[in-house]
Amino acid sequence: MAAEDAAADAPVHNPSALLYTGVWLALLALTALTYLMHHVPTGRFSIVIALAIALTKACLVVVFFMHLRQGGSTAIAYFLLAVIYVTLLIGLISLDVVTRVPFARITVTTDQELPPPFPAKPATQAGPQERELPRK
Amino acid sequence: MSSSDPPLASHFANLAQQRYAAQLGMWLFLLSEALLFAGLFAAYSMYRLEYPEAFLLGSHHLDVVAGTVNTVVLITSSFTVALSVHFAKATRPRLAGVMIAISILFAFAFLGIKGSEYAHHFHTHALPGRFFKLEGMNVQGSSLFFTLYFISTGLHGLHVLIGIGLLSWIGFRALKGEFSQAHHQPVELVGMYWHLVDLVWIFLFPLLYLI
Repeated sequence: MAAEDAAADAPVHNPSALLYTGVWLALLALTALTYLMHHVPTGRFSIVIALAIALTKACLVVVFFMHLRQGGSTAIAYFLLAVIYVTLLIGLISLDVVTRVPFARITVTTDQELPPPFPAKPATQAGPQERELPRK
Repeated sequence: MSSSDPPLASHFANLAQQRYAAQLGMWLFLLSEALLFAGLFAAYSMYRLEYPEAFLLGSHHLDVVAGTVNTVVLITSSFTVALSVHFAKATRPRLAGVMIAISILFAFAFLGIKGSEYAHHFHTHALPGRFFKLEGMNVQGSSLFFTLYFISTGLHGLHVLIGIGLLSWIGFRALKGEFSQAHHQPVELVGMYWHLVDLVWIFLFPLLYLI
């Protein structure tokens, strides 16, 4: 309770406009960086770099624009809970997908087995019927 | 209690407690918003791992310059909203109102650029599900990328629209001279909502455009 009382009774926390301008310029610089890095071939690390830059930007917004620290210890706990929940949800689903045994995965080996994405022509509509004939 | 103080609801002991409860409630609401978008990000991760080639090709169809400009627009609107909170706390409500008006203009600019991108997608049939008919892109999972693209940017766009509504409401009150050091919380809470809209885009931008 002590921390909550301190957060509520504290004088109005109002950083200078200069600080906000600095954070804004940092966010613009990070946006420019992520745009430039997109044109550098970094292979499979490109998503790691892009997400690291996005995380840095998100931290700047949460700490300096949203004043997370002035929200008190419970607000910080809520924020950390959101991070943990999102990480668990995305992390465990991704783990499930990448560790599935191959035969449980839907695989398509040839183009012929692909159903037409949008059967516009009558010729392609006849396709599935032709393929079904050998089964009978 | 001075006349500039906000009204105190009967179930709070004092203004400090009321302010603290409102701020905590806002953080809790933003947590639920984060989980709403997390569901979409989880679906995105799953399908991107399943169909990496389709996501790469789909991303190449998107205009990276438009996405980058929109990121700059939204970050700048977040900055002007942060300034409006700063001026409301400094008891300069009209300046705060002007900052909110600028933020609303940026929000409309964002929707305009997004709308022109949508128009291009409709023109080239880069659409979700069975409406997908983009020429030269026939790998499995192609339509899924655009389904996720339209749902996630659409839900984000809905949040931008709600944010414009909230900013207009708070902006009018600020221009009329409401809000001061003692009574600035409505500006702060609406500002937090707008920063969340910015946060979601900060992650949507690299995941959709920069594959």
